[in-house]
Amino acid sequence: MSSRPNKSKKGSVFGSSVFRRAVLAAIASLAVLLALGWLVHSVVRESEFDLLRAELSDTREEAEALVRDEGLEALASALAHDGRRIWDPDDLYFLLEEEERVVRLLNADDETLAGYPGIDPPGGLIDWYFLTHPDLGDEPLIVSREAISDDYELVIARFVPGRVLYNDEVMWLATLFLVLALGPIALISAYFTSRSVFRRLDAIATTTSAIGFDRIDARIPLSNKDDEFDRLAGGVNDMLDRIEALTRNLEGVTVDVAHDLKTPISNIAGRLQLIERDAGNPQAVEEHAGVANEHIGTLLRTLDALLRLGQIEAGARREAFEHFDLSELANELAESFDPLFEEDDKAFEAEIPPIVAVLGDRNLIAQLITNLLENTLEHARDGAKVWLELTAGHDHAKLVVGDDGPGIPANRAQDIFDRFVRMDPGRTKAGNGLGLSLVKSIAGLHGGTAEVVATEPGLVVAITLPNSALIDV
Amino acid sequence: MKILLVEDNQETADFISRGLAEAGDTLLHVLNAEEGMIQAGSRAFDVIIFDRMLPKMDGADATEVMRKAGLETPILMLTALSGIDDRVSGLESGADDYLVKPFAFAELYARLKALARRKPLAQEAPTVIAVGDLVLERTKQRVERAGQVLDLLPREYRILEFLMLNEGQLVTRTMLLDRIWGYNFDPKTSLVQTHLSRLRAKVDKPFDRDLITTVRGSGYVLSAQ
Repeated sequence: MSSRPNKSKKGSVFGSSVFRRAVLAAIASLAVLLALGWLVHSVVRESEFDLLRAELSDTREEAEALVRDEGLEALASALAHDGRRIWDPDDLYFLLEEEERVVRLLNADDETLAGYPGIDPPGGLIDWYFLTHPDLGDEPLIVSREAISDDYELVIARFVPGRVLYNDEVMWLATLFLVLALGPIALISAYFTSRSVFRRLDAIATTTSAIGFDRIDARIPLSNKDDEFDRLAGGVNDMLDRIEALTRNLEGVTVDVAHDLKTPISNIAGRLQLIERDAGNPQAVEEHAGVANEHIGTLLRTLDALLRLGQIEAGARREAFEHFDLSELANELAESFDPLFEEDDKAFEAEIPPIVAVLGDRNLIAQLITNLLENTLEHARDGAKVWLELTAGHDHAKLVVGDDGPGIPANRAQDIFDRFVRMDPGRTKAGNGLGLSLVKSIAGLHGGTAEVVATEPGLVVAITLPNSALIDV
Repeated sequence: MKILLVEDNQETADFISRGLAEAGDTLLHVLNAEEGMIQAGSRAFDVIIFDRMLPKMDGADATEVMRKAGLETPILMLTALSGIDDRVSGLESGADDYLVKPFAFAELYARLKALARRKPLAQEAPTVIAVGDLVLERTKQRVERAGQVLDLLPREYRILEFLMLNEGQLVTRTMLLDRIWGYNFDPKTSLVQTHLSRLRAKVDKPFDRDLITTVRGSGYVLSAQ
């Protein structure tokens, strides 16, 4: 499929809808991943803080008990570090290492009685408070500031543990990375997931556009994976085979129609010229006119048969179906044709049980049987045995018309139902090659089949018609 | 015969009127269905020829209207070569016969004659028909010629009956296919010819004078002359 017959742009993976969908899917899955990460992270973080809060409240309870039992002074001295009630900024190194907490006891005038004066949070519990320290810099703390007795407040703070800070950092870094890399990752993963799908759809698109141009013989390559694409491609290919066969048949038929119409028309034209020439001779004119009329008759019969075929294949007559007595019709036709076979020196026998009815168009079935009998009448050898048999299956009727010679080549059995096919190459015998096409079309219209069951010693054709019934007698 | 022709195609109308003039029949030609219905209702015609495809109104619809209005004049409908369904709907609309264009004038004329003979208001068909020394008794389905009973098959009897009812008139092959076989298709074999020759072998051959004559390319005439 190297040629590029139409002007439509060459499809690219990036412009395809499967690619866009894959990008969206990649973005969505990354977003879900991030959301999940942050959810887990916040749960872990919250439990860490719950622990810290519990420790703060334990410490506060201890302090309150001390104040209640022994007085404020006892608490102040308990808070002393290295004998100093008021802590140095340097003490914080140690406290950070050893105690992991900072305290401050202060009065209503903001004067520090004990602890570290540099910590001055607003009241209540604060998860994330930054202690300003000249050397340590900003250290995050969880801090509570509440009254411990009249006029006194106690500030208790614990350093947020390093692992919490570390987890936070990792999460932020991961988020930053994912957000920055999201576009490229989505594009790359989408490219790889959509590429194979795209390739296979593109193969289908390329083939169909090639067919749209002029290459009806183009077919979609199959991958042998037997997946949905192969099923699609297989279906399209089957459809194309059928369309191609129909098109080729139509082309053939058109040529045949032209040929079959041209012959009688040239004969008519010839006779008209003869009429002009023999204008003075009424007898000759009459003869020419007679011959011309016969050719016109041939022409009209061919056109009529073609129009009927068209109508039958369009299926319009199916609405008019009704049950009718097929046995009676077959008998009537057998009786009608019996003298014709006799005149033609052929032995005709009909075997028709009296009880078979079918759902269909009586007139069309009459034409079907007539065409089969006429075909035999024309093509069976002199002295041949010819038979018409009707049998009833449990839900279908079977009509068989056969003769015992000369038959047709076995490899042409399927061709006899094609339009304009004639087995005599010289086209010397009467007929337009549409009779058996009509037979097949009529059988098809009734949901039945027309088949060659034998090609030697003579031709035997079987018609099955569904929807049959036995008539109560 | 007095004939009304409703036909918008001038060439077809000329073809028909020339033939009818030669035969000595009277023709009134109108171009559309409305005019046709007015004329059909205001004068007495033996037969009406109505084209199926007319501007504005379909011939089958017009026929249905006229039949509902009580008109009993036989109607022959003309149609373009189209096929099988038209015929059924044409006859269902109330037309008495149906002819597909193109047709031979002899075919049309034979059908017109047959229609004109068929009297409106079911005048009792005769139970005994006689042509010369040939006598057909319809109640007994019995045929005699010169006092000698002829042994006919049922189909041969029906053919003979039809020929005798149209005594002296051309009966075409397609008319026989229509009436006797009920075919609306034309078999390519000599179905009609074969049956006619068998009939003639029984009706004419044993006797001095032939009653049935062949009109080459068209059909048959049964007459005593």
